Amino acid sequence: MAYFGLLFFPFGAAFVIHVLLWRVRKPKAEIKTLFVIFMSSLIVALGLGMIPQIYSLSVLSAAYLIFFYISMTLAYLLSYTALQEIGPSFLILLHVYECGNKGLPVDSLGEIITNERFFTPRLRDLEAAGHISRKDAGESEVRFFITPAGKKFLKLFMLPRKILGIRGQGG
Amino acid sequence: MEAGLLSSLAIGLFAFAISHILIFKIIRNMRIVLSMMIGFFIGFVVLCGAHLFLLHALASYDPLTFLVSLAANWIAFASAFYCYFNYINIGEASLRIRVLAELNMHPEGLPFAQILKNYDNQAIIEARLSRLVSNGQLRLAAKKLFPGAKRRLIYIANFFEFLRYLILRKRAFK
Repeated sequence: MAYFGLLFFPFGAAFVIHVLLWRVRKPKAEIKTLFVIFMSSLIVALGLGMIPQIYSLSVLSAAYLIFFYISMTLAYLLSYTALQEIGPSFLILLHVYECGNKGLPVDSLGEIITNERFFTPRLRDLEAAGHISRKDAGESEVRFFITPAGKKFLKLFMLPRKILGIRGQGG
Repeated sequence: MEAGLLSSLAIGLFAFAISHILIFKIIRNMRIVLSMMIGFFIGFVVLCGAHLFLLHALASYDPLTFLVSLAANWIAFASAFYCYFNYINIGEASLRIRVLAELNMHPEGLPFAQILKNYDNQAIIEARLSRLVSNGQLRLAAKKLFPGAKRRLIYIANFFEFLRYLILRKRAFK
């Protein structure tokens, strides 16, 4: 049973440290900090697992621990990004349920799903990440281009479409 | 025991991947999300079967160890599935990826107005609304939106609101 303690404890400890730290002061680089906290916890767990008095990790048990921990950590990081910015579908749903039987006029959705909330920040994020760049094309026209880094990033997410043979654009 | 844990997890994940890909490729007009869900169910059943065989029939561990190890495998399997599900979903629905794909098709670049025309708030609303209504999450009547017969997504949205408040002390809604 000590092995299962070693499996569950590091994630729980990292989560508690993360919540406590966020209560005191939320770091600017949230994802990077989360990654450091969770990976440090894994390294500590692997270190503890090497101490014979606690547990003698074999290569297989260490491999399972690493897979178990990394899949949980990635799942949490993905959920965390969803916490940072709500998606349009969830926002629409929450507003409709707030109105209940009175109903939410379709026309009012334009005030809820605005370009300032959903489109402009995402374009800014792409630019900040170096995935797109802008160039002045004259006559006060600004054009956006995909960068080589952006192409690599896009390829990463287009890979399943290639494998599964999906055509057209998702919704 | 670790060999049994790892093997049953690997068998479950393999069963998921194969069944998801085959179902999506063989059945025409199959939605990718549905193929993933069916694949998840098949992978989960295979995982349980492999776990039962490797950790109970071949090497009989005490019931508590067996149950805790099964729970650990469920968590690992569900987490790996969740990561894959999000990876596929980002490629399918993410606005950022769609803008990148659009720009990739135009090496000469696109003006801001043109990008905005294709991906502005009206485009987002139309895409999301048609999906929410066709999935039964919302009901449209007399140009008004009402809660639909299905409630799965609103439960998830509320759960994320709860987590957002618990961790970030803020709400996205209100």
